[in-house]
Amino acid sequence: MKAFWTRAILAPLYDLGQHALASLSNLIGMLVLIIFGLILGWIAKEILYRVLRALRFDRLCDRLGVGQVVERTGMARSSSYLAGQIVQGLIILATLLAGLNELGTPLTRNLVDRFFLYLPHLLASLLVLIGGALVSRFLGRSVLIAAVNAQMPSARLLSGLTPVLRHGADGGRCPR
Amino acid sequence: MGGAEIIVGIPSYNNADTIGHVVRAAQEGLQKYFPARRALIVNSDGGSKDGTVQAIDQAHLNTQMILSVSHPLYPVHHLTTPYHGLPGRGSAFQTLLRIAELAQAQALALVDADLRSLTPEWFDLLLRPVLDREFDYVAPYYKRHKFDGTITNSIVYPLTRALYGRRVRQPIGGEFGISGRLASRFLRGGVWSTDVAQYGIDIWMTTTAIAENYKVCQCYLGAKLHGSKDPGPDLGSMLMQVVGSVFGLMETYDSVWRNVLGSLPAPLLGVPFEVGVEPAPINLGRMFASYQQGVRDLLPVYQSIISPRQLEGLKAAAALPEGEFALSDELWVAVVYNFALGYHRRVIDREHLVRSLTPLYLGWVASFARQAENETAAQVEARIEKLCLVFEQFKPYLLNQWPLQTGEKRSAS
Repeated sequence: MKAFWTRAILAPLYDLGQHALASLSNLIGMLVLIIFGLILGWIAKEILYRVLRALRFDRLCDRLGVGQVVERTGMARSSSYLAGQIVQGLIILATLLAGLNELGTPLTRNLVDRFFLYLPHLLASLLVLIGGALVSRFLGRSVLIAAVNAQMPSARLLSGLTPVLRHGADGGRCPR
Repeated sequence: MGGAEIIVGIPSYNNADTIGHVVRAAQEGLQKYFPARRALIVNSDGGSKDGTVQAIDQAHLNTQMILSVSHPLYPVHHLTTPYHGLPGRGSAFQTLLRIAELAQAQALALVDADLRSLTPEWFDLLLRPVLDREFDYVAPYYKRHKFDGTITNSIVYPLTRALYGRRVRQPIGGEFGISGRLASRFLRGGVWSTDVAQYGIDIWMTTTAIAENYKVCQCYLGAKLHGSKDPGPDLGSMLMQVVGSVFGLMETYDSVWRNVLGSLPAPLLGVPFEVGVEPAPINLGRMFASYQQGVRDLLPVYQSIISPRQLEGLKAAAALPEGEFALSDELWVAVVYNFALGYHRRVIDREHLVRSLTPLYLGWVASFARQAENETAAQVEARIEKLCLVFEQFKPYLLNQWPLQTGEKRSAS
């Protein structure tokens, strides 16, 4: 009876405990990584924000027209801050992925693998989006100034249509 | 080709109607005023399709005999040298300057091929100061209609004068006398393959001569009457080239103009005589409408260039009825200085910046013309002089706002 009790009840419970302990260490490792990522991300954001501000990055972005896009869309309080937030997000994401990988389960590993497979598409899309925004802003202003100088009554309408057409063209080329 | 003491350079492009007159006047002028000097007339043609080159040949045939008779050893030659590269004045000027250097000329006169008011005396006036009085650069001084030469009157002359401290009334006149040594200096300039060569070559030459302390004077040529090739329809491009060149040169010579306050007259040679001038028609209503539209539609562009206080001033002026419309000298000067600063700081794309000045420029011209409508030429000149003084008076603002180079310290003044 005792042998049965040991084999049927205690041994599985012991194994479960062992597995739970092993998983718990992975889980704690993941949590530590995520907390580390959060702290590191926050520090990186603050440092980058201050460095970019000192380097007058906002003025450069204003010249390129990015500043106005950031302001208009309400994405962040300034371009420097947005850059800091992007870096913070990337660090958190990286540590989160590392943490998931630490769990070592097929599910999390598959998730991490798929993310890295998708990453180039994501970056390419971001580049197209940013490039498109810059180009459309430049073209829109070119059209506006030319139309005003030609004294066309609908100069602003014409200029407003330029980014729409440009974005349409970008959308067609967006990597899928 | 051999040596020549004098070169007369005539850049041309589709000037068949007028070039015969210009070449004939050049030959007469050289024969009359410089009979003992070896001279060469050089036409640099930009590939004309209207028979400009044939028109020169015709003029050549008419005068070659006289020259041969008068100066068998030193005949006035004609060279027709089609230039390549940019289809503009700059390429022609480069060709002409190079020929002057090759010929080791002491003096070079450059005249437009579309001039109807040019006389043989012009060549005496342009060349004599170089040959006999050791001037390096002779700028023209014309009598023009009060509404003619508005880019010169409203921006180029006042700004150049305030910056470099020399009062050269027609810095983009089109006719120049140049010494051999200055011609060589011009050839070493790196502008020949740039946009400056289209419309900005004149202001580049004038600015270079003044800023590099060459001996500069002006000569009174009377009236300037063009053929029908006035670049007025392409005002935006001309403004872009001329004003863009002035702004660009501010960067080249900032170490020069930042040490200049006030201005001195450039000697004026020749006797100013009264001449009739052709009226320059302007459409006040259209200019005012352009200004109003610019202030309304280009506001986001102006916000990155002009201060809010000046923008308010521009908006207030745009709200006035056409009959009362006026822009103050102070406001206009502040606008021009802020555009120069914006160009230097690259607050937006430079071409956008200069092109966006067009409606404000038209507004200034409309304001100026409305106020000067019933004034005499002398009164209008006094008005331009007053504007120049405001440019000079406000120069400290420009100096304070102009970013210093690395390692420089701003003086307490």
